[in-house]
Amino acid sequence: MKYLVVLLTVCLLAACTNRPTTSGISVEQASAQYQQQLKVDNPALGKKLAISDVKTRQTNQLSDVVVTLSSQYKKSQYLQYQFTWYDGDGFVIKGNHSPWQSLTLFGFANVQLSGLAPTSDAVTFSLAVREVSTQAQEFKD
Amino acid sequence: MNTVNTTKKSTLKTLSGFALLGLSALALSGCANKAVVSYGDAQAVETTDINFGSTDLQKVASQMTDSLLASPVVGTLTANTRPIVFVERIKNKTSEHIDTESITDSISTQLLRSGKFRFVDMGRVEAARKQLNFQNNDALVDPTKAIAFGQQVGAQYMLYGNLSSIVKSNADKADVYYKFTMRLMDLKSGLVEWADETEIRKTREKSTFGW
Repeated sequence: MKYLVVLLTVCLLAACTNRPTTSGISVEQASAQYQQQLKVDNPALGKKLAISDVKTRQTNQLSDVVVTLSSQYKKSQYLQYQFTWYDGDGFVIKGNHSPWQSLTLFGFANVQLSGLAPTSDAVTFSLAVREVSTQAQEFKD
Repeated sequence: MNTVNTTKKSTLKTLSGFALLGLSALALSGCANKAVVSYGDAQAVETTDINFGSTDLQKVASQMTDSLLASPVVGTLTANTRPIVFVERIKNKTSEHIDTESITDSISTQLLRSGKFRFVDMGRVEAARKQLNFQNNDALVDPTKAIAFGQQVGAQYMLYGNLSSIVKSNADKADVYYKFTMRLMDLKSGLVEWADETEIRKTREKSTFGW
């Protein structure tokens, strides 16, 4: 009986906590000083993950960017990332189809995330990285 | 002494009985059985099941577009002109039903938006012919303003591809591997100017907790 009460309480609490953590870390490139634009909204994730390098170049008149993500944690991390592109005036590129992409980062591994601007108007970008916290995150933000 | 103990025990039993009842009621009414409709993020990662889903479609389309736009050959092709492309189709060689036209739609839309390519749509040839027939043969239309036949331009390049899968499963685990290959062929010479492939691996395991 006692166990059943405990079990039910746990179930009740579990059923109610369907608001996932969607904050993470992000980097924005406005100039070469990307370090200043580095933003950590989720300190727990910020300890386990770092953005160590940002490189940009022009490929076929399109901005091409590579962001190096390095793990500071011994276990695998299940992450999602999304690039967003902005034009010269800082307007977001309309109809920008860059979905959240899933990424498995192994312990203490580095990975380069590459993004290509959708149009030649796109000059700056931001990259957001977040952790996959729960199954309930699937469609919610 | 014994009676007191028994009374205490029975009170505890009753109390926990009430608690159980209350909690069950809460669990059933509060959180468990509510139908909630809400809007979600169309760009979010979707992992409802192991089949080909929206995230796979978006990933395939964006990776193929990026690869095509960044390739040096395409850089040369699109340096001074916007090549005319027609999308043949993506052959679905998987065991699932997948709307491959949706993938080619996404890819051609993103390529068009990049401003590097132009497309002809073979799927709408009959509709265009019908409209031109109407313009040229119907007494309602001013003949001087009708668009004459024989002015359309043909495609220079053909975009086509394959989607294949390997599926494996046992009692506890299912694994699916998708491989998407895409090619751009020069219709004049028959040469394949660009090709790339992207892979997706999805696994489903029985989770230890949860229901």
